[in-house]
Amino acid sequence: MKVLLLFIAGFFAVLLQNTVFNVLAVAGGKPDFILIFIVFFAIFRGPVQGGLLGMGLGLLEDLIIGRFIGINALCKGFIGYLAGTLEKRLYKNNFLVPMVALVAATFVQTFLYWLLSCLIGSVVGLDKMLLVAIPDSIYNMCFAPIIYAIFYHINQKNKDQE
Amino acid sequence: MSKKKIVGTIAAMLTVSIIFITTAANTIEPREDLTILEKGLRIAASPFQHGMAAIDDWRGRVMYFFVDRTQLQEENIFLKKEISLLKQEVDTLKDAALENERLREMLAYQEETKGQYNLQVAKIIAENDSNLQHTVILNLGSDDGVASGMSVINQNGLIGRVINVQPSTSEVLLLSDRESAVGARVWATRETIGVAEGGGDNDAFLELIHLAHDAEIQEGDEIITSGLDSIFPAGIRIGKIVNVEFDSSGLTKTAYIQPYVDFTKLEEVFIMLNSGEGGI
Repeated sequence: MKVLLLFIAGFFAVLLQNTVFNVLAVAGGKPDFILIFIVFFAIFRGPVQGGLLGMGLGLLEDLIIGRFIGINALCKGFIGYLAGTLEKRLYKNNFLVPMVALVAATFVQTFLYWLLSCLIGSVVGLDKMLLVAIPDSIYNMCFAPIIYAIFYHINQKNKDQE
Repeated sequence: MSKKKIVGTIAAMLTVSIIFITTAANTIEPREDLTILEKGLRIAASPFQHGMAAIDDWRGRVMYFFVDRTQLQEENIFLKKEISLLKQEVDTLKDAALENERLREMLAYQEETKGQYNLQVAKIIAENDSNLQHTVILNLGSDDGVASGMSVINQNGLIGRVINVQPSTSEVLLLSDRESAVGARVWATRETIGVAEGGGDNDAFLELIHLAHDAEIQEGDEIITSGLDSIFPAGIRIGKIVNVEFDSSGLTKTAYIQPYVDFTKLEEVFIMLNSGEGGI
């Protein structure tokens, strides 16, 4: 049930990301809410859940709007896993942590995408991709505190219930 | 984490990676046929995408309305300024065209009367158009050879005479002034009939006063200068009779002349340099 709900939520998240949030594009960059969601989810839930969610949402992105099936799945899965590994090492009360993690995740995702694209034979300039990654990361960073606050709040609630 | 678990994780990650890289490599070429999964997801997504596109379109239009409005307002201000500038330009050009026309007519007149009159074009630079006086100031003076008493005309007829001269300006008493008087005769009959006086207003008729009761003059007669006053040369057109009235005594009559020159619209004039004292 939880997986189905997550799938539906992810489905709409991907759609929103590629319709409504396109409006928010400034200077070639736009916030990647899927990435923000994966990173923060992973920070609180660990590498396995983070990796799976990342892979799932990435795959949905590939299937709905992507061209190369699997690239986003791999990128986002890896980032989810990587962010999840920080779960126990991060001091979650500090709001600067998610912001730095997001900037790093944006650049890692860009680099991974480029690497995988090269691997499958698609020629994309790394310089161009990094140029887009700069406004993207700044944009993501701006939204980070608000979304992180929501995650933090939900996590606290869950902890209290437990 | 146990060694077994680490190996398992790495193996799982590698497998997943290989699967995804393979599928990505297989889908690198543009595909005409999508997989059933893709088709299904995209069909399910399409209503939402259409809806979002419509909302975005509407938002764009709303934004455009406001942006457009501001732009229109700015454009409006700019265009108004532009119109004002262009109007000024048009007025200047119209002025120039009218001046050109006037000067052309004057030039033609100057050519026509070349042997007869020595005409010098002068521009009116000031006007004294009060109830008591009707004079204008010209831009030429004694330095330009202008002397007191010289006749001032334009291509339509007599305007007045120079009454005083400064080095670079001169004052002209218009024919419409009450102090003005000119010997007149009927052009057709050559009959010398008397003196035409100013009506005292720039748009008033000139008056031919104290005409003998049997003087041969009637409405429509053209009046020219007689030259007998020793001020104005003979033969310059003055105007046309519009009315003849007997005075109350019945012994004399007065004729009213509509001057050919419109004293209210004077801009350029001729100074007749060979008129006045010692002139023609």
